[in-house]
Amino acid sequence: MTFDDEQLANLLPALCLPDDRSEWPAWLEQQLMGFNLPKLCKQLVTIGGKHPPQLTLSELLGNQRDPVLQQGLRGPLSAQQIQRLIQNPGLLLELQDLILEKGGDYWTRVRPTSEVSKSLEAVRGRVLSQIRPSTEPSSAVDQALKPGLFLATEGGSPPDLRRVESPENKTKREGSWYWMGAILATAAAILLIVMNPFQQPQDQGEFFAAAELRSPAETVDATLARIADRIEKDWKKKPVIDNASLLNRLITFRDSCDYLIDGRLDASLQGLPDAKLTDLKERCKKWKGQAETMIADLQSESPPENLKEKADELMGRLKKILRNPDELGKPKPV
Amino acid sequence: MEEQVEHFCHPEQADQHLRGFERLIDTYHHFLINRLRKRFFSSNFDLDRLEEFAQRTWVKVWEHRTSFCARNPRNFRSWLFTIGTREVLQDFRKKRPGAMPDDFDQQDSASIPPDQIVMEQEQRLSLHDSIELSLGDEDLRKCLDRLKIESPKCFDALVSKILDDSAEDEILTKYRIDRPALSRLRWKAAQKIKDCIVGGAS
Repeated sequence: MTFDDEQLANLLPALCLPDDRSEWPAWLEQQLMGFNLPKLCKQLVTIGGKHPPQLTLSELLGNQRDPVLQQGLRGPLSAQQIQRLIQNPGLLLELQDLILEKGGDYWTRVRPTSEVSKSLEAVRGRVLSQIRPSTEPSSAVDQALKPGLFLATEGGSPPDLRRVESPENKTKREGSWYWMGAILATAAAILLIVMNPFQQPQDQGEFFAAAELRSPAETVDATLARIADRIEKDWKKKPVIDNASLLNRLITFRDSCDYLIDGRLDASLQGLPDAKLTDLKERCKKWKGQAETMIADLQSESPPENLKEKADELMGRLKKILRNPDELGKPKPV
Repeated sequence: MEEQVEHFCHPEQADQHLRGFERLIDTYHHFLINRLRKRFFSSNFDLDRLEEFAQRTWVKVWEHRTSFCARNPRNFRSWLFTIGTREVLQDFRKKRPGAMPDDFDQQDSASIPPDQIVMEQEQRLSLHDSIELSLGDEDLRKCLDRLKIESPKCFDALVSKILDDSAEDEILTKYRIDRPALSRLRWKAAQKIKDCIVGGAS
């Protein structure tokens, strides 16, 4: 059996302690927010850590308790304090308790371990499928209020209105009211599809909103390349055969830009210098704006003919930037 | 964090509620899982079960968002933990097999107030985890013992990593090696331990 890094990190986290001590604080922060801390602590004790701890957490943190809660381990704690945490693994468990209760914003932004990312994806997906049926009608109504072209759903199929339920809920709902409700809901959905001039699927999870992008790749450059690949794939995956399908694609793309702009991909992009990240977000705002303009053009009475080429060009530009991150943060030519 | 709750409770557009909700899941999922594990499960926890509780908790958060937001919310995290705790306790009260650790299922839960259940469980787990911690990892210990016999140099290099700087210096002097060589020894040690664990420590 061969091991990859991820398997090793799950099975033997203590052996993944970085060799370079300056990397310990960041690594420990990840462990404190991960699911493997109890195992790590047990292994550290086995390798030579002390249990029970030789000092209390208050003694170790001293007057750095609040700074640690607000700023993490890197700044506030000295190398010696970090080392003592490693040497007294029980304190790591206590510190995790403290952070879960009182940790500030900083701790919500710690780069997640791959195990956390996978778990998050799984749970988020299940939760959203469970609640989505109750949210779709309202967004469909919102869409219906917008003026514009008539659009068929992409691929010609109606939105999926099935409810994903737990067995208990299913039993509760079985009955005439449930079926009557279901019939009414289906009828309402069909009406909305037929009458809604702007109906489009809730095309979630594409472009910047793709779930896979919310976990980091091995390096930040690899993450950016993955974003570029994903955008290329999503742009090409459904043929743009007319203005309606182009509009659909552009709206999905435009909405996905918010994932990058409002920081939901920050955790994946940790390691990208602040100036580059800011530049990337600024560019993304512009891409979003350009998509917005094209959407408006498509909704006008006589849309220009070359919009598809313009849209392709936009996708080409953004992929180029994502694949050449050196360009980010550079002053723009006048 | 307040900003995220604000997004969730008062989005700029009505259809952005869901997006705000997604952001909250992204931000607090690992807090919730770790919190529930610490309160109710031993360190040998079952992630699938925890995810099940987390899923139910998030669905409840969505269902009760209106009442939460109407109360001019300050502390989303503690509200989330309260809902999570309630979900686990509810399961426990139904005495669903395997919902709680075995010894916990034996109790007559109906007469015990929820706070006391949580407190007792926390004490029990704290003791359990402390014992577990002092026992260490048996398989790893066996592999380390083997490494110590077969390759003492690798063993010393590995163990010196978690001790203080002076231990590392001692190893450098003892074996007359430099830091890159020490790193290589540690890497070798990690490979040997890995092979030993995969091959069966005993």
